[in-house]
Amino acid sequence: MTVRTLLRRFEGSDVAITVYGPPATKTVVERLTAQRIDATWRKLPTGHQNAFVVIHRDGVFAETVPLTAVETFLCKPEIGSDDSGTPDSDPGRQLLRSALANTLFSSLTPAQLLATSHEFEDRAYRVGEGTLRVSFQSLSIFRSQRGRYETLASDTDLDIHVYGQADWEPPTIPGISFHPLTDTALEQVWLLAFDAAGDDQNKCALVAEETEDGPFRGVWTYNPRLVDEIMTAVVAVDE
Amino acid sequence: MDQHEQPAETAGLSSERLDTLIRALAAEPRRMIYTYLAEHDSASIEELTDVVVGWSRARGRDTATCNWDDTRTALHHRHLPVLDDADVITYDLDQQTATLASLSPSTAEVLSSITDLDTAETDHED
Repeated sequence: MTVRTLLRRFEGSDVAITVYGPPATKTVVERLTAQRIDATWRKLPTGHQNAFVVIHRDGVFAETVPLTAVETFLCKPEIGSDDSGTPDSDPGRQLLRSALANTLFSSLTPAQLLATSHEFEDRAYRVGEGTLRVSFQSLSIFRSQRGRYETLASDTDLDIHVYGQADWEPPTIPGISFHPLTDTALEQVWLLAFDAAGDDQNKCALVAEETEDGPFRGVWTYNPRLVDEIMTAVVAVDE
Repeated sequence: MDQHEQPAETAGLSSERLDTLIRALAAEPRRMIYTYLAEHDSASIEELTDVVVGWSRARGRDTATCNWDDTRTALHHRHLPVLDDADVITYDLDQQTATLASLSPSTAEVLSSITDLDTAETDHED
């Protein structure tokens, strides 16, 4: 399975999002449309704080999420610090991630990918065991994430594997295995997959591919079978 | 209710009519439905359920109104018929579509005053 064939599976999925709120919330509709997600705006005097979105999948109600959570992700993703602070869990952010899982975004920025990655790394931290496989395209990109990963490795029993083009000599960090790649299989791929030590409830993965125009086309999922498939595909890259 | 104290505010509305309107909007989901239809005139029960569930959850209501199927049932069997009986909307049972009724200015004013107070209290402009 290549990343492209994986992403293609989500191309036909029927996802429609309606934004309910005052006129200022139309900005979020524009942002969603830019991601090639079917989005419409319905005026409602909710005030900004109580504006909300309703997500339909295959024509039926799937979830509702506060607009502010969607807005934060699309307009100003909170990357947080990359230092060694203890990861927290924000219910609004988690609800957003689960509501928009299995939804293909066609224009994700590195900041949005990083925010999603951090969310999943925090989940791995909380679970505390299992295998986490990540690829940030090139190993050198890992440098900016080093603090977070040192905390992940030292505070937990996680088995962490970092993949990427061999453009940097990684240091030795207990609990982290580096996989310098010389072929181009993951060259344009941003990927994170966590098997939660076999606990299907906590498995998660993010897969994105850099497009020719610059932004990433990507999707995240909590589907355990899909996460297993992604884990297997990553392992195969370095065999 | 003492009509003699506020004759000018509700000119043209009988005491019974006023009671009916206030009862019609005595439940939060019905105020939400009226507010939505005042903006959009007509909507399917599915759309109104989306609005009630989404808005209730946005307001932090941890109640049955946050469950979509239960809310749809409550709208169909209770809230929409109550609004229809009060002649605030017409609810087409076959099409399962609600449409705002043609309201007199004084009726619209009473209903808007109630829903405005509700949104001013619970929804905040940042």
